[in-house]
Amino acid sequence: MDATVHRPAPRLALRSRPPEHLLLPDVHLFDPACGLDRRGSLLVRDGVIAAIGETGGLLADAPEAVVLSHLGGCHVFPGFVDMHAHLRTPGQEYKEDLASASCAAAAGGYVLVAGMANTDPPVDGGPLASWVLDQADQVADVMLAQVGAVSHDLRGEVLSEFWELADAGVVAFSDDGRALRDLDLLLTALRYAGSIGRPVLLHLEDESLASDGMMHEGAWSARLGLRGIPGAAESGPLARDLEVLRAVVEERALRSPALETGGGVPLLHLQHLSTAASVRLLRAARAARLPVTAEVTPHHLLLGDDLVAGFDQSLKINPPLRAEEDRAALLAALVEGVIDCVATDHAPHAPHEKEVPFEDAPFGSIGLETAFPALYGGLVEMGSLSLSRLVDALSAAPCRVLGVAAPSLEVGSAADLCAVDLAEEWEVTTADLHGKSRNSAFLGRRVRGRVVMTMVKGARRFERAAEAGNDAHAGV
Amino acid sequence: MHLISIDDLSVEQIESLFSTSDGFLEVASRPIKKVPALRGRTQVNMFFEASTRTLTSFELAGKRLSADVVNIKASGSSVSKGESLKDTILTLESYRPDILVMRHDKVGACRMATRYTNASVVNAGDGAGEHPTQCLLDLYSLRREFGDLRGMKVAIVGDVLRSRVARSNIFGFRKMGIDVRLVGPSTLMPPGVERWGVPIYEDLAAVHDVDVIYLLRMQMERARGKVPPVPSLREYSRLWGLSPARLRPGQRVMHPGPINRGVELTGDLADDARSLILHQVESGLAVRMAILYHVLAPHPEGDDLI
Repeated sequence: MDATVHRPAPRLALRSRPPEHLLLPDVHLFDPACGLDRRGSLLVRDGVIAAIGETGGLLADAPEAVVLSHLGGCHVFPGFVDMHAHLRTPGQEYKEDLASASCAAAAGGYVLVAGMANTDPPVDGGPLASWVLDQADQVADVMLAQVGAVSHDLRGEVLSEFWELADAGVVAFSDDGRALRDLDLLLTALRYAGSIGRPVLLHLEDESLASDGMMHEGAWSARLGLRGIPGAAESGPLARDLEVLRAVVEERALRSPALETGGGVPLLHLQHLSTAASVRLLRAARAARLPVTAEVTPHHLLLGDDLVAGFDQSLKINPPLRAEEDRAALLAALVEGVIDCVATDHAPHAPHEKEVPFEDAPFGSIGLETAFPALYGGLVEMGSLSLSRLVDALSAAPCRVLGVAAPSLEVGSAADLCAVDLAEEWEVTTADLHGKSRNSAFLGRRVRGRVVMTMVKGARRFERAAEAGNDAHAGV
Repeated sequence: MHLISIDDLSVEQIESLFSTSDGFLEVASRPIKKVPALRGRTQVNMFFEASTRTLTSFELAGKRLSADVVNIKASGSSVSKGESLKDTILTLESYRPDILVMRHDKVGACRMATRYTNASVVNAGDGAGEHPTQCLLDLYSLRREFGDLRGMKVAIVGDVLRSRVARSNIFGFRKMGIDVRLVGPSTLMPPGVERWGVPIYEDLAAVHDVDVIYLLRMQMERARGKVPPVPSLREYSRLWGLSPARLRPGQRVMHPGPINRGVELTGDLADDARSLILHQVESGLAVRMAILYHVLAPHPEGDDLI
């Protein structure tokens, strides 16, 4: 066939700013994707990484560049990418909006964030997806991508208009916040999305097992008297759903090669995995070469159900913080790449919604500002995870899942990067949060590594005040 | 003989049917459109599902062949009182009909009917199973329009999942040497279709080099399971609906009817000279006359039937 096949591309929306002419002198350039791990200076011009070299040589060629000398000694990473955040727009802007979410993201070193579709109303049609992305073009200082709903009105009955959503630029499909209960819906969605070349992101939760649950079902839920959410509420549907995926994959393989998915993206991506049993099922699926990927959140990697004993409502999260063996299994899977990427599941809730008894509080924690420092301090510093795997999981890996170009420090790439002072250890306070909500699971915890500057398309979008020890920060 | 599946016929039988159809097509152009071929024979049309063109053309075909024609519909018959299919057929069998033309909403109903009657049973559409007379009239239309069928390229587009027309046409067209491909969203291709050896394409661009684009009706009324295979007719028509602008020179469009204007094709394309839809209906009468004549075979070669 020589006829062109229609493949819509994801739309990444960003407020444009004049590109700056900047020199990052004597930084530690670190990008595992292009094997970069050395000191050097980096010149940014016209929105791209123009050159890498020695400060003197670069300045001789570009004497008019502004030298960001306060970044000296920082690590420079390809900008982080969060494929799972709740931007609460439209409809719940009192929790977060596109501008505040992008401030929080930039402060966390993120250059691209994908917003889930469970807004009010849900993003289940092309016009609304376009509207959100048009808004983002006006106010967002990091690139924002939109996820489209799998089902009309998130009701799990009829597919939303996938092609219309894809033509509006959505990056994936998900009913996140709700599980896809109906296997026929999952089957239909996988068949239909596969031809578009966009993945289906799956929130795994058996409602009959999870309903009224408050925390992980185990010793602590028994002790505290809170109703538990058993691990099987996640791994049960996962086992079932992987069988549906296998059937769809076998069917596609038998049909024409023209039916291969575009861009090599997976058909199915598993959101916020939380249990050892889920990891076992994922391992088997990956071993069987099924096109399935997965993400894990910083809080599921770092925090356990024992912490719920303090009844901090920010620790009421779905899926819940699990037991030690679950965390160990998630970490091992992340180290090995069985779990592809880290996603925050940034879920802002207004203070008045969380400041209620634990059992009445909504689920969710914000996570954009703390993801890297928490994981660097809690895992890399402890020798549990390599820095290169962490940077991959925060940057290139989610881009592989979504089929979008990954941020890169290679000369000629778009200047989408962040500078991080790995030496700074700090305690997370509400002053470190840049969004509208304060429900961070990491408040009061010691973390390591400060994002000092974030740049998108060659313009600074976040810059921390240069004075060491100064808690003030400034967006630019 | 019965005609239940397109597989019941050989290439030679189909070609012989077309020769007979040529004669009956000529009859339709005469001022007196009636011939005595089936005089004294009894034809019962049992239509347990709605139909306009199939029932009309079978009734007219029988009458033009001078058969005694009786129509039975589900509504207004003892079927609406709960009589079983078996009992309805056994009852009719008492009148010794020669031909039973049957349409039913359940796959396999026509095959079942053959067990309870000595008449020749003609399948006029059974659920999502087969519609062999539609396939034959489509082939006859193609032969009238293009001459030689062998080597033609036809794309069958749309709701293969729920289409009895597709299930007859894919196999009948290939039997006659036509190169068939399927085009449509993967959710409208029945699982297992990949084992038929027919190329499957999702993008409508795959029709670009075919001679004929055969559009299937979107059969939302035949929903199976509770999740519809496409999100909406609006999205279907935007991606897979055919408009005149998409047609290349020389391409023709077919549709078994009834068409959904604005869904499978735009209204102006339905009315376009490149649409063979009414040509198909015209072929249908001649082909169904030939079918009625042939199922009461054997007729000796060269029988002067007209």
